[in-house]
Amino acid sequence: MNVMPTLVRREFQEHRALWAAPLAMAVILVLVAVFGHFEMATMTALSADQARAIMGITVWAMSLAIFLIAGIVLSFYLLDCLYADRRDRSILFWKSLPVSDAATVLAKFAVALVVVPLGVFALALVTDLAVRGILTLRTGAGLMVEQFPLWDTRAWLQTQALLALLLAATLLWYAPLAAYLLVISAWARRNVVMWALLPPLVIALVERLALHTSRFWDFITDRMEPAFPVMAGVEAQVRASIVTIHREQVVSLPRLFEQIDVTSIFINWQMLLGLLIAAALLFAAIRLRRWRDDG
Amino acid sequence: MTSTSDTPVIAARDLAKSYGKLRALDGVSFTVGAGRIVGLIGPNGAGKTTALKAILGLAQFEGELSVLGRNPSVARDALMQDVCFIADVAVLPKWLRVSQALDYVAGVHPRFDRARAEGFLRTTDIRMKSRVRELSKGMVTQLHLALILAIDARLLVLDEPTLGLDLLFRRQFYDTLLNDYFDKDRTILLTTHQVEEIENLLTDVLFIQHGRIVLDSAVESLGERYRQLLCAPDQLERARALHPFYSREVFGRTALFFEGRPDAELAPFGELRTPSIADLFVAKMQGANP
Repeated sequence: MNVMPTLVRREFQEHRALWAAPLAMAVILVLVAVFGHFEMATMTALSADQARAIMGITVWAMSLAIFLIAGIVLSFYLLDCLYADRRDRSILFWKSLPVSDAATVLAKFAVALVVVPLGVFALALVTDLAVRGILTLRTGAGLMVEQFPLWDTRAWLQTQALLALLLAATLLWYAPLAAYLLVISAWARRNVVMWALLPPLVIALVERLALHTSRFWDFITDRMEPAFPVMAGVEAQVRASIVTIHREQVVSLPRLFEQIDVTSIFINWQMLLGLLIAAALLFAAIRLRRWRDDG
Repeated sequence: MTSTSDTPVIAARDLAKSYGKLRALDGVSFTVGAGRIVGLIGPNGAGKTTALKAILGLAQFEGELSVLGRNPSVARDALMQDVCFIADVAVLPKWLRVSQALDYVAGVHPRFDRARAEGFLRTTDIRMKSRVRELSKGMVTQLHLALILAIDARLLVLDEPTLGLDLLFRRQFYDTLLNDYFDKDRTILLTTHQVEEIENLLTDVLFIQHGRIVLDSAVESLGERYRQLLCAPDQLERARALHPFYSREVFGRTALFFEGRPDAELAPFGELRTPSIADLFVAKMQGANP
């Protein structure tokens, strides 16, 4: 008797893309490190600040590749997970066991917003170390000309910590979207993707025709912004973290971590409003799961 | 309906449920006592599945309903610890492996006896590593049965459990149910089309038609209320005068079905017997729609 772990394990058995897709991306990154041919720009004569910025960017790029794959897989997972039980008509089997509908829905929500992100973060971290190790070995064996990457433990840890913060903020930011996808998944009889897209499109269209404005659409697109508007609260700190390398301006993530105001990322009215909406939508998804009667 | 225990396992009063204009349940009342095997029998669309859904807390309804002392629409999660069910066709998720199914039920059900389920599976051709999609329909039913029968539940609800199975599996299904599972503390409520196959299994019958209960009786007392008279042709006119509720031709003779007539009144006109549940079912259904 271990209800929550059992429910979570079931999700990974049913939706294998949850772990297979990020893992495949990590394997690709490692293979590229082993077999890839790199023409490194000469990076001698870098200042310590520039070196730290480069450290940050390389961590960022590698992690982002894995996070993005996970994000795409999670969106489809959320849209499919409750619907799948009705589509394959196994819902009555699941419902014949003493698991509340709240536990079922919350387990799926937790898989998307806690379990997979934690796993993906750990995977990205390990992949980053593996790729760096491989590249260092190849350089040492004379297979690569330039020493890359420049190792800096402190900058690496700072970047990872910043990534963890931003990942947590992003997940909370997208919590209402995740809950919305669960509602559609619990409700739609078929065509979940269409039903997920239709309501925002219709509301925006009606507003456009009736009021000649596009406030709703702007709100939705703002909310979906990949660089997420949470960063708006720390814009000044981002600007203060910019370092110029070979005439390119880059944000130094280790430096940003030293300056960032954690409170303003997590505690602002947009974030709180989003979490309230997420809670209401989760409640709706649980009710739908409880009473939706397809037969 | 007779009961071996004072508190009924199921007590329904004036259950009603509509889907739009259709009255799927129209004031259904009945009780089921502990240790009974009750057949809920009716034609398609009579309200069987709707009644079961109400009992299992899967659909909302009007009226009063108590299952093991609980209201299923409020306390479904707690109720499911004591109630098991297999819905109309054995549908298990296709991706599920046999071992994963055992892990899952063991993980969420406090009354699941894993060794018992594995013991039952060993008597079949089902392998632990197989996925449900690789199993035949009969094997999926066996797997489902292995999972459900290893749960120490007080009420087992089966909705057309053998639909689409061949005769061998159907026979095996009911044999297992009766020999390995059923005892005096357990209650089974089941619906099926194939009345003949469960005749000898049932202790009680409920006939349902157009959302109403049209017969509610213990099997052993059916013969006190219902008589089938095989009537010789020359006696037919006089027997018909006693108002049978249904009649049919059997090999040149006529079978007349009576309700509540004493044997002494009927015996002079021919051969008397207790009708089979299948005959009685047809008689009741057809008699109501002449």
